[in-house]
Formats: sequence, C-alpha cells, structure tokens
Amino acid sequence: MQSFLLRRFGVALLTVWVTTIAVALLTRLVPGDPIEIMFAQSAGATREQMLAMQARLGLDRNVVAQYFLYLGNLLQGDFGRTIQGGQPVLPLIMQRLPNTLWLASTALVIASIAGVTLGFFAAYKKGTWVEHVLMTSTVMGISIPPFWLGLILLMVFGMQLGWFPVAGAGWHALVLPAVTLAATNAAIIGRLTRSSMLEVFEQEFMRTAWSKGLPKTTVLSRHALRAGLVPVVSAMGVQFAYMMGGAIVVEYIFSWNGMGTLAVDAILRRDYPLIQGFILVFSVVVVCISLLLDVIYAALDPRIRQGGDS
Amino acid sequence: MTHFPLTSTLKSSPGTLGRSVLVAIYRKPTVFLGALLILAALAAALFAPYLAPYDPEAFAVGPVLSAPQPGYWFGTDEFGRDMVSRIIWGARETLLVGLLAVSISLGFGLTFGLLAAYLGGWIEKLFMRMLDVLFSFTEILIALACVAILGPSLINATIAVGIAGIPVYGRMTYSLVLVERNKPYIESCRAMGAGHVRIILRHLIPNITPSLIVVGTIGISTAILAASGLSFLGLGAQPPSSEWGAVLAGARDYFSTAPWLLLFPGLAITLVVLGFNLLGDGVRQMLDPKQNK
Amino acid sequence: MKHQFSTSGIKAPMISCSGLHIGFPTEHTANNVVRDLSFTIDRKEIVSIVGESGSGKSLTSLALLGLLPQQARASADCLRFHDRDLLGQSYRDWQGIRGKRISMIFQEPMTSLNPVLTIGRQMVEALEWHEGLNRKDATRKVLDILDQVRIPAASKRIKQYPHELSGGMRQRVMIAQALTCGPELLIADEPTTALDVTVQSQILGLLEQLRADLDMGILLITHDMGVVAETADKVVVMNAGDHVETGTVEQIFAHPENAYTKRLLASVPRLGSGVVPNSARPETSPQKDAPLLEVEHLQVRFDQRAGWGRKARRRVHAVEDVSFRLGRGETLALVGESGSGKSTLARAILSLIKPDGGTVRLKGRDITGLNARLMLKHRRVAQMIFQDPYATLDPRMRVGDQVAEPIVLHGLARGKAVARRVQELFELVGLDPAWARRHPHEFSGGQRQRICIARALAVEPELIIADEAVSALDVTVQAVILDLLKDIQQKTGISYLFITHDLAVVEQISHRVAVMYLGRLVELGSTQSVLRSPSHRYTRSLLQAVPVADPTRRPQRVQDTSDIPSPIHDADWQPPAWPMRQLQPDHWVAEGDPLHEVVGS
Repeated sequence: MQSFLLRRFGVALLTVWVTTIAVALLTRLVPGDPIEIMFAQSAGATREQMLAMQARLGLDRNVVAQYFLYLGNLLQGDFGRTIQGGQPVLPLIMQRLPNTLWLASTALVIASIAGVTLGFFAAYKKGTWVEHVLMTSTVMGISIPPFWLGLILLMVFGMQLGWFPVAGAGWHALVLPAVTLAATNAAIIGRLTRSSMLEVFEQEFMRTAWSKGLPKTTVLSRHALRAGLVPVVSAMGVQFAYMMGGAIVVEYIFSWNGMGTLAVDAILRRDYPLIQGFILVFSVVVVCISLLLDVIYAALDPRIRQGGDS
Repeated sequence: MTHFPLTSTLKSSPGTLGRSVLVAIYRKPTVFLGALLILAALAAALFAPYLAPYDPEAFAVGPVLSAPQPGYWFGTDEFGRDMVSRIIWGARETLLVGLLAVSISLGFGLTFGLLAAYLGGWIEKLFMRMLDVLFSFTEILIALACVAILGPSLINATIAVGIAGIPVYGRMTYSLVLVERNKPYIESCRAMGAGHVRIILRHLIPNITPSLIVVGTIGISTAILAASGLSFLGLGAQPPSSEWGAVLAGARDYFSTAPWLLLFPGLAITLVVLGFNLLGDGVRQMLDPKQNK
Repeated sequence: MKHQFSTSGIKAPMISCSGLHIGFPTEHTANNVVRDLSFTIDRKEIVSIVGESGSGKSLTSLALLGLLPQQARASADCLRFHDRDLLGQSYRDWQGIRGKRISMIFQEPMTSLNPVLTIGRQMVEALEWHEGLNRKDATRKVLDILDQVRIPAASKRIKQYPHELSGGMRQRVMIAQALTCGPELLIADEPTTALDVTVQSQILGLLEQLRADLDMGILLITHDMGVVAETADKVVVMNAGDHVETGTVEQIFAHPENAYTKRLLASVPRLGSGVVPNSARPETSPQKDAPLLEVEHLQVRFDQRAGWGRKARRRVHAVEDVSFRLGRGETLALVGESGSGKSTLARAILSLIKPDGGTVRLKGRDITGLNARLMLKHRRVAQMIFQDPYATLDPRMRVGDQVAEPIVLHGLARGKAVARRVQELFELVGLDPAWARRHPHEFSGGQRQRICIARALAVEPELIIADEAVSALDVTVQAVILDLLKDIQQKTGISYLFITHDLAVVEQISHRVAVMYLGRLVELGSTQSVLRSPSHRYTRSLLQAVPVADPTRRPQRVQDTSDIPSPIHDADWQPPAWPMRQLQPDHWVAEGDPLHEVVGS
C-alpha cells in the first residue's frame, strides 16, 4: 500500500510541478503579442499599463527567469491581478471554488449510486429485457450533449413545471445542475460496472461461492459486488476530474456562481492572469481529490494494499 | 474520455472487422439504426448545397422567430434564417470537426503509444509519466488551455479537442501493443529471425488495427460532443457559423420564446453522436472475445 | 436438521444417475453435449469420470450441484442424491445441499478463491450459514480443518489473501474450504491439473486419506489416466459426450472393452513400463563426436526491483551454471517442474533472452551476445516450437504465408519456388497443401502444432528446440505428434532439445535426459540410465511422484507438504558451486541439493 500510495503521491507532485511550468509559459505560446491581445478588449489601456503588465508577467525576460518569477509569486500566494478590474486572482477563484466543488461532488455521488445500481442490474439480468432497456438508456446517456440536456431540463422543470429555480444558490437550485452533470457519468459508470460485474460473474471464484449454498444476497454482495467494484472505484478519480470539467458547461447554463463561469469569461476576454490561476487551481484540486480516492481504492483491493503492484 | 474502454485486444481473425460490421448491422437493429444515422448525416454533409432549401447564413429568408411551419419545417431564428438549411449545412462542419479531431488524436497517440510499448526502456518510462501527468490534467482542461492560447475559433477548437485526446489514444495503443507484443506469436517471429520493422508492420499493426478503428469510431462521437460544447460556450465556432453547438448557443437566449430553436440542433447532435456510439459499440461487442463466448 | 427419514434398511447408492443428458438447446436442436450417462457413487467410494477435452465430464460434475451455465439444460431418467431428486430443485432446496452435503473443488485454485477476501473470511462463511456458528467458533473449526489438510501456521494463513499462498497451498485451502461442513460427497474437477507432479502427488494422497478419515465419497473428474489408476475405485469413461464404458479400475485397465478406451489407454505414455506404445524407442543413432550445440556455464538472472530506479533487492536465479552438449541427430530432453528455469534456458540458448554469463556454441561458433543481424544466420540452424500452437500463430495471416515467412526472410527461395517449398513442408508434416490458404482458427490443436512444426522446418534447421510442444494436446493427439517428430528425425537427422515436465513423454522420444531443478542441472545421462537408476534425491522424488497408469502398482505415498524451494534470493546471495560427478560413461549427477542450502542458510 505504501509503495502504491507513495507512487501516486509522486505523480501528484510531478503533475502540480508540470502545471506550474505549463501555466507560467502559457503566454509565451500565444501566437502574436499576448499583451496586445490581452488589452485589445479594454479600450482605454495606456502604454504604461501594457509595459507594467509585460514586466509583471516576466515577458521581458528569458524563459527561465520568467518561470522563477512566476513561481516565486505563487509561493507568496500572489497569483497576479486580472486585466479588467485589476482584482487579485486567487481570492476571486477561491470565492467561487466551493460552489464548483459542491456541484461536482453532489453530481459524483448521484452518478455513482445511479451508475452502480444500473450496471449491477444490467449484468445480473444479462440477456433479458431489463438489460436491454438499461443499456439502451446508457447509450442515450452518453450521446446527449450535457449542455442540451441542461437546457431541456431547465425548460421543462424550471420554466414549464416550475419545480426548481432557474438560477440561484442553495440545495434547491443545485438539483437540476447536479442531475445534468451526473447524467453522462452515471451512464459511463453504469457501463463500466456492468462489464466489470459480467467479468466477475464469469469468474471461477463465483462458481465456488455459489457451490457453498449461501443465500443469494450474500453471494452477490460479499463476493460479486465487492470484487466487481474494484475497477469502478479505481476509475473514480478520473470521474471526478470529468465532473469538474463538465461543471464548466453546466455552471454556464444554470448561471451557477462557480469558477467555471469565471473561466469561460476569462478565456473569452483573454484575461491571461485569470486563466493561469484557474488552470492551476483546477489541476491542484483534481490531483488532491484523485489522491484521496486512491486511498479508498487501495483499501478495497488487498493486492494493491500489500504493495504487490503488477 | 472514451466511454467504452477496451480491456483486451479485439478478436482479430482475418477479415473480421468488415464482416463483423455487416453482420452487426444485419443482426442488431440498434447497429442498423446507428449506421442509418451516420449515413443520413454523411448525406447531409456531402450534398448540403443540393439538399438545403436556403442559404444557411442568409438573413430574412423567412419570417423572424417563426415556429415550424410548411416551408420552414424547423422554424426560423431571430434573423429570419431557415433552421433546416442551417442544420443541414451544420452537419458538414460537425462531422468534419469530429473526423479531424480524432485524426489528430489517433495519429499522434498511435505513434507515441506504439513506440513506447515496443521500444520499452527509458522511452516507455518517460511516456508513462507523461501520461500520468496529462491524465490528471484531464482532457477538458487541456482543451481549454489550447483554446486560451490559440484563441476562440472552430479550427482552434478542433485542434484543441484533437490535442486533448492524444493521451487517451496513446494509452489505448500502448496497452493494446503491450498485450499483443507479449503474445507468443511475436516471440515465435523473433525466434524465426524477423526484425523489428517486419514485426511491427506485418504482425503488430494488422492485429491492433481493428481495435483502433472501433475505438476511433466511438471517439468521433466524443470529439463531436467536446467541440460542440466549446462552440456552445462561445469558445469554438463563431457566429454566423451553422455548427450545431454554435447554433444552440444562439438559441439559448430565446429558449422561453422560441424553444424549437433549441430542439433541432440539440437533437441533431444527439442523433449523430448516438449513431457513432451505436455502430462502434455494436461492432466492438461482436469482436470482443470477453463479451460473446 | 435431519435428512435421513427413511432408507434405513435398503442400501441405495448416495448418488444415482441414469440417462443423464445435458445440452445447450437452440430453437431447432437439443445440442446435447452429454448423452445418456449413467453411474452411481457410494460413500467412501472414489469414482472417476475420465475423458479428453470436450468429453462433457466437467458439465456432468456441475449438474450434480445444479451449477450448470444458464443456457444449459439437463434431463435424466433419474438423478438422485439419496432420495432427493436433484433436477428441478429451487435455489432454497439447493442451499440445503451445496457446501453442506455436497461440495466441490476446481482445477485452478488461484482463480477459484476470491482475490479480495481473506482465506479465513472465505472459509468461515459456510460454517456461519449452515451450522449457525458465530465467528469465533467457526474460526476455531476452520483452524482444525486447515490442520487436517496439513497447512502449517494455519492461524497466520487465515489472515492472508489467496495471492500470498503457493499453488499447492491454495489447493489445500480449497479442499479445506470444501470440507468445513463435513460433506458426504466431494466433487473434484481436475484438482491437480494445474499443479506440478510432486505437488499433485501430495494432493492426491491427501484426498485418499480424507476419504478414509471422513467417511466421504469422492467424484474425481480428470483427463489423466495415471491419476485415475492411482486413486479411483470405479471409472466412467466418456468421449465427446458419449458414455463409453464403466467398470472398476482394475477392469478398465486390464480388460478394456470399448475401442475408444483401448485407444486411450494405448496412447498414455507409461513411464518405465517397458511397453512403449505405437513405436519403439528412438532408433537413430546419434553421432557423439561432433556436438551441434554446446552450452557452458550458462547463467540467467532477473533482478526484482522495489521501485523505479532503485537497486535490486532480490534476484531470480532462473538459470544457474548450466552446461551440456547436444550431438547431431540426438534428442535431449530437458525435464523440470514449473519455475525450474527450463523455458528460460531455451530462450537464452536462442538469444531471445540475454544470458548473464556463460557461452552457447552452435556448430562450434559462439553465438552469445550477437546482434540481431549476425544472429539471423544462426537462426537458420536452430528453430523453436512452443507450447500453445494457436497463440504462436499470427491470427490474421494465412498459414501458408506464415510457413513461407521464414523462407523469404532467410532468402532461401523466391517467387514460385516459395509456394513449392511450402507445399513440400505441408506434405512432410501430414497436412493437405490446399489448406495453406486457411487461417489458424480453422484448424484443430494437433493440426496447428503441425503447422508450427512445418514453419520451424522451413529453413532446414539442424536443431529444433521444442518447449512443452505436446503438453497442451490431448493424449491421443500427443502420441501422433510425437511420432511425427521422430519420423522427421529419421528422415532429416535433425536434433531436438525437448523441454517437458512430463517424464513419460521423455522416455518415448529422447536419447538423453537432463533434469533441471531451481535453475540447475541436477542429473544428466542416457534416458535408460537416468530413469532406471536415478541418483539425485530430486530426480528420485520426481519419478516417484509421476502417476503410473497401472492400478496394480499404486505407490506408497510419503506424506510430504513441502513446496518447491524458491529460486529467488537476496541480491548479495552467491550460488554455491555444484560440481557434476560422473557415475557412468554417460551419467552425471550434481553434488548438491538446494534443500540442504535452504536449511543451511
């Protein structure tokens, strides 16, 4: 377990470090003059302001110096200031982050419960109409664009039926965005669970379990589900990352006050300091949550727990 | 993310892929439906100038914000543009975006994955660490970063989606080659005296190709979803483009007054994506040794 | 719960089965894969159902526990356990039987145990459910049973997971698990097929003893006539779903009545029986003076690293100081159990693995450390055949093209000549040349191995290394392929290095034998000499463990629970020198035994 988790921790550190490099040098990769692009939309920018920004981003130095300038600022908690409004980036993002996390984790819980239930029954009822219905619904689930699904839900449940608020904060307003965000991933988790369960049902240890004369529920829960969930749990970190990504679109539709809306605006306005801060915070959050989920995964699979990674 | 992870190399008997596609279409109504949807989209894309009744970007070809009616079957938008024509022309952009993005992902992913898995050593280790990092970044973040760098436009969004998919296809190829490389027939080729180039070209690539084609087919649907998502956010195709995501973005402002504007582009995306998913998944099931015994 | 209400006076068999049919029905046909099978099993009786692959023997055993695959349908005139009809029972009915009165063990103990639960958890659950014991009492009983199947340090084992135990240990756990509720019948489906012979012998001995101690019937499903002869009381022979013959073990072996049973028995290689079936001992007389292959002090080690870039902590000594010679037209058998390093040795000889030390000389030329281009020339001299012919053929290439590939690769022929040569080769191995356009999946196992042989022969090699080339084949097919190999040797004067775990096969094909144990040669000599008068302790125990297909010669088993020692040592471990001592002009034995080293360290 230690060697597995140590390795995951190493990857996490590496990822964060590579992110800082990529983010610091992001502006260098922009075709054309990044400063001009940045200020193109704010009409009243002066020559002095532009030069100050160039120095601030280290664009007047060489690449290495620029990186260390950026890293030094980061370590002091200085993520820079936005082009428009000149607000400090980090507080702006941190203020929105809880909303996004709240949305993504609610959606992950919904998607996991729905997906595992769906996948388990599809596998257990293999070859029956139950499986066909469930599997067809998952193909639909992964084919519907989330942004369209969100708009439809908003129209039907928000406008027509008026069951849920169209926008706002609080748990009541959370339902529609969370369901929208969970739909695709419930389908993905459902398919993953089904194929994993099907594989487990075919395993010889299941034949052994059936041959013991135990109650059906015991065989299914203790032997099948536990073994079948191992690959599902191992994919949970990736699932969460997709929730975070998907949240960007969903927040935009439901005017949810998260960091996704902030990021879309920033990209449209080419507000590079804000974009940089967003990418950095986003990947740090994803890395931390993945690490947490890895611990759960390691606890579930003894082969990993005992360091025997093969 | 590919929604259908491959856990093993697909059964690769000779000629299986072509035959399986036909058998799957013939036997399974869902696959037949998938093929039909793709054909319809392809026809719309290829023959758009002949099929579309109006110029998709021409203003005021009909009344403004008219509900579906004879002559304007899908209604008209706020500029009086015909939605049928916009959807038909949009098929062209949507399909092209999907194909192009998958080609980028597959081309680079295949090369990297193949080399890493076959050569091994430090190249393999570097590749694996790179993949670990890129997977924690997630595709969406990579795509957003690319758009942030390149600036919003349809072609840039396509490139961004393509780049974001490279790690996925890289890892897929890598694990396929790894499974295949350790099979005894490759060892017997080495014992016979065959060199690396011969083994890769004559044995490895033919044996992983069916799997990659299936994965690529399903991947088109993922790419279409991602690119239209970017356009919907305003980060991809820009007005007056008739790319479906962009059309949907324009319709967003009218969703209480003109819901039909919302219905048809969304339905179009769903059906095309569904088509690729159904076809790819159906063929995969036919070929997967684990699924049908 | 009491199950015996009646039958106190009448002595009915425990299991009575007559007219059993099992099929996978479709709309049109019944597709029966077991047809009209009848047998009975009594308490304390070991009944064996024997047959080759596809005979339906495993399905029959599953039918006795109601565990047939969903698509399968069983019907019978009578299928009873005491007075209970086993057909058409509900899940609840089965619960009273499965694990409690009839239990089952399977072929592959690794996959038959749940990988994510501890041994203890898996063992107590049947006790908790059937006998209503609490966890503590159940655990105490489990420890007793583990003791009974001779598992050392049982209280430690129950906290472990299946992957932490050795193969033999896992099969003991499986047996113990099946015994927890004191069943009346134990069904064992190929219980020793996945195990090495010495471990197999231990497990068979254990089963026999448990039968006596626990007053239990055993249904033994196997393909191995040797196992049958050594353990069974009664034998049921099956062939492709048909019930061929039933009788006591003595009857079946001494006076088989059915033609298939006779053929099956004739194909079984019998070690040291003096009667070698189908053909006589190897006739070609090898010329000893010109060694084709000389291996000297060959060494292969694999480092086990704890992590990326770290120093090796443990080292697998896969091949350690191996030397031997192989003459032209000679067959040398390399015998050993799993993990003995025999396959590694073969790959090192052909430079498929880089050796860590020693030399390999082919026709007098040192070929160790040659690069791919220089090696190509030598690959013409030595070719290889592998265990699983299906896996060693490219599934997407026509078999004719695959046989032609080495011809083209080594520039032996061009254009039409290639096709002619392929045709010749197909005829040589007894295949119809018209089949060259087919793909591997269109052939049977035996035919595929013929294709592999043809491919190996394509470059007219002087040496073929055959790695377990007949182990995956049914005995009847195995006999035919061995004959083919001998036939080719007589025609072409080719040499074979024949790697196998099956000592009985050795006697049929080889002139000399080398016994490998933990990466070393422990004994080397003429087949006659080694098999008749084995000198090394390991060779002797190996020979003793081989099941003899003759029920009149049942061995006295020595109860031994030792696993084969591991060839993995700490990185700083230095292997002691093992000089070979000459006993006879052609018989050497190693002066050393890893058992003593393990004790010593």
